[in-house]
Amino acid sequence: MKKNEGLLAILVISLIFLFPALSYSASKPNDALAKVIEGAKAEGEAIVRIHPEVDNSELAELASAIEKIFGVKLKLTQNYVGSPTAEMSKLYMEVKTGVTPHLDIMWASVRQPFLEEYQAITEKIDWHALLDNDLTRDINPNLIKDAWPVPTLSWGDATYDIVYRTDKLSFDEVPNTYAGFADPKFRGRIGIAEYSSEIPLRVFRTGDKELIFSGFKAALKNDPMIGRYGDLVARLEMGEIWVAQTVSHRVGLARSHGAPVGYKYMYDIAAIDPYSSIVVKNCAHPNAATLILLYLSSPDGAKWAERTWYAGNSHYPRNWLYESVKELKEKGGKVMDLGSMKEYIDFMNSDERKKMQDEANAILVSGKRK
Amino acid sequence: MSNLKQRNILGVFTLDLPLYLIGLIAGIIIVVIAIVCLRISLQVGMIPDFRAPLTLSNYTKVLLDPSNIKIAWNTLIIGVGATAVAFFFAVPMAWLLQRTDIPFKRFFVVLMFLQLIMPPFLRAMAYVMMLSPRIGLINQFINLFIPFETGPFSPYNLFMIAFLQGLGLTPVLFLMISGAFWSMDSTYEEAAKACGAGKFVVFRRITLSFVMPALLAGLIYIFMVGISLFETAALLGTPKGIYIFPTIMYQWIYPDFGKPNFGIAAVYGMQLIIPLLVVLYFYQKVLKAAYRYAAVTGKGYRPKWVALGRLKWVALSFIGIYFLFVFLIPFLTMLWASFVQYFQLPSMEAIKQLSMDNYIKGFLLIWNKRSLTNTLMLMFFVGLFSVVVSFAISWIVVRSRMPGKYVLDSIAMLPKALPHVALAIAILYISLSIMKIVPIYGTVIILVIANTISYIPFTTRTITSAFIQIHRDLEEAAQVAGGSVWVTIRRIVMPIILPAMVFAFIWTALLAYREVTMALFLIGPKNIVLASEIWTLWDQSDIVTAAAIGVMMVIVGGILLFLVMGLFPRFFRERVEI
Repeated sequence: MKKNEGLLAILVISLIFLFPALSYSASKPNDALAKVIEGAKAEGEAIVRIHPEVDNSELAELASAIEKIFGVKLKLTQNYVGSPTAEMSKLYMEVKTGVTPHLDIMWASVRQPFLEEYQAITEKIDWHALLDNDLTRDINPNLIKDAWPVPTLSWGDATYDIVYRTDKLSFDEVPNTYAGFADPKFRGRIGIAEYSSEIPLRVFRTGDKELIFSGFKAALKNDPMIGRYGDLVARLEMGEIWVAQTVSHRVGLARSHGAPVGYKYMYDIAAIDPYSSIVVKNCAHPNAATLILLYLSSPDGAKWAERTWYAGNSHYPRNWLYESVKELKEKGGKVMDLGSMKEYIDFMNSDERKKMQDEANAILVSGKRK
Repeated sequence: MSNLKQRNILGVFTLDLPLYLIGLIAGIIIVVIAIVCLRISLQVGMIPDFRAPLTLSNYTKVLLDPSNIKIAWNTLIIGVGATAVAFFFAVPMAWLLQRTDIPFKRFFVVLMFLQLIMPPFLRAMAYVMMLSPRIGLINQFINLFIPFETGPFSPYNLFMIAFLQGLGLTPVLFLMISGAFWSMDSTYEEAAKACGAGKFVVFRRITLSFVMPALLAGLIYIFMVGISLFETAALLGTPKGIYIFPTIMYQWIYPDFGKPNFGIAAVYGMQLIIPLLVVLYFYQKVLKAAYRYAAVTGKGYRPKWVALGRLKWVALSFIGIYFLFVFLIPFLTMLWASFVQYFQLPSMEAIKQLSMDNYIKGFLLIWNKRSLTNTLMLMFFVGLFSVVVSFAISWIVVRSRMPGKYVLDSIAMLPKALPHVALAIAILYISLSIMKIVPIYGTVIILVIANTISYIPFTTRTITSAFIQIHRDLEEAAQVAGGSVWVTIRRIVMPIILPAMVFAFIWTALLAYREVTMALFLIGPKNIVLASEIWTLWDQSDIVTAAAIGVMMVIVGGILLFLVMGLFPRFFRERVEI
């Protein structure tokens, strides 16, 4: 009897592992993907910009997963040194002067594709053709952002909201509006992002300029800390402030450090900001880069990104951001998928947005807050 | 005799031709880079383009902005404040360590070097931990006796920024003037003492007078550096809306959305040139009068130590207070941070979680990307080239009769006026443009070039200050005796200015180690350096791993420095007087 149980267990385990393997081996790439795979085999490596939290062993895992699916062995190197704007300007100069770009893959926030410079460094790829085959069938086609000035395959999402100390405040106590930041009981305890582009985006989300600007000015009078997301999270971890504006993946990072932190959406709105990932124009390994982006956009790729640097993905269940957005929706909050909104694109291109950003910048920098 | 004649007949082009070539080539490169920087400020667009129309729109935008005056004022206060703090600590320390019998000299000099290895943002964070109005340890201690909501101390003000920058710059000033203190002939001091002057009077009226040219040069330099530093002001000023030129430039270069506006950033940087030109004018006057203070002549040059007697305890306390502020508090903070999971105040709970995880992560980070090897190469070659180029420039300026030599000296100061960002963009653009002929883009060489150019003002000031101390008589005597220019340099000049050169070498190497602004623009997969790794960690709020790397660097750096001193005791005893 025991022997039969053992055989049965072996059979079940074999099936669990064998089935996906058989299904992958039976899968055939279409012509477009086959061409990319052949090209990637010849290239053999890629230089990527993912996140500094990703270490060499995790890159090796990524390479191994890509080999398993596409049959291409790649040597991956990460080069992550500067902010997206610094990287973009370097890549732009490289492309313009005809030098091989230092990166094969670049990504930034949803806002960058609206820049002429970002468009100039983007390799045009027909992502739809690459998704139309067995090997990439799991990838959610909504990740292709056709409406953007540069069609990209977005392999993750971010939201820009509030991180707070759970040992100091309960969820309900956490202010999630600029007016709430101005409450005297939070004097000196709030961290506000130094980025002036935040303000017009909040106006777009709420549709109320007066609400945002008056709240913003009031919050600035309440002795807040102003800084970059990273700096604010560091101060929050230290206990200097209790509430800070941040980008969503930093919450996971802070938790991984052991800091007692929670996350809350500003104005009860989850505005999903997809990464604008691109293969860099004239890069050394365009085919390898394409395969990497395809994998990262798959459900498995999203899991890898979440595990390695807490990246969110609102398109796949069981991802923390997906669940968090779902919870907000159930509670009656509003969800906006910025990557698919025509009016968002129009707003980003509008003079109104630029004017609001200048106004916010003047309030932040020139001391007009008082 | 023949060499002397040859020099007089042929003017500048004599046996010291290689020095002229090095100096002039360096001068031309600096001018080209400065022109590209200026071009950036005069155009709209992201990359330097000589076909693009010139426009003053960046200048009008910045200069007509009312906040510009406030930012300029803040910058000036920090520059003056940092210079005053550095003066307060550096001058007495240089005298004490170079001219007196104070004990533990070697230890203090090592500490002086080691404090430079510490990332400046960690020093600033240490003071946040100490003085933050609500959580600062000092404020909390006071709160035990006087209850309050917001503590009496705060690190978020211009005074603290200037104070911390001044503390950090003290060793630079110390280095720039210690050569002059060391090489001063002590017979003048002894004569003053014989006439009944007290120690303080001798120091003020004799010693200080002799080192005045070097001191003024040093103060000018410190002021220029003081107004261009970024990290401390970013951590202690920006959070409370206090902006200075470097922090506002940062915002234009690293916007969260949109392209970097190098033009506007360059205009803010260009405003630094005005104070530079003013101070340069005074500096040139100092230089021309410098020979009055030449102290090392052929006649009985012998530096002697002043016996401090009981005052040595006061002196030791003074130096101790400096190192407490600049090294001990930040180092202990860094040590604490390196063992905790995230940057937090000391508590029983935090103590329970102490681990070596940050060290393991930091070590793997350094090891895997060759950043340590690249950094060591960078430090060595920047130190070497800075000293060689500056020696050539100083030789031309102080010793030659070349027409327009002071122009070269001004050119050598020019990189100090160029914001590091603009300098990096200019070098980046030039290296990309010549990539097919000279493939240096993406290599350590481009970092070496950028850093060398950036530190030439410092090394030139240091070496020139030492040159000024040597009277022409010594060299002319050597040449009259038949020595060639090279023999004179090797046997007369070099032994005397070697301490200044060694200091300049080590110091520039350390500055290159921690320079990050240019690195961020110039590094690629093959030339990653430690500074950019640490910056990335900070940017990602991973302060604890950055602290672990900082501790490792301080320990390794300390061991290396002691080893060098142990291996070359004669050099250090005879040349550096420690």
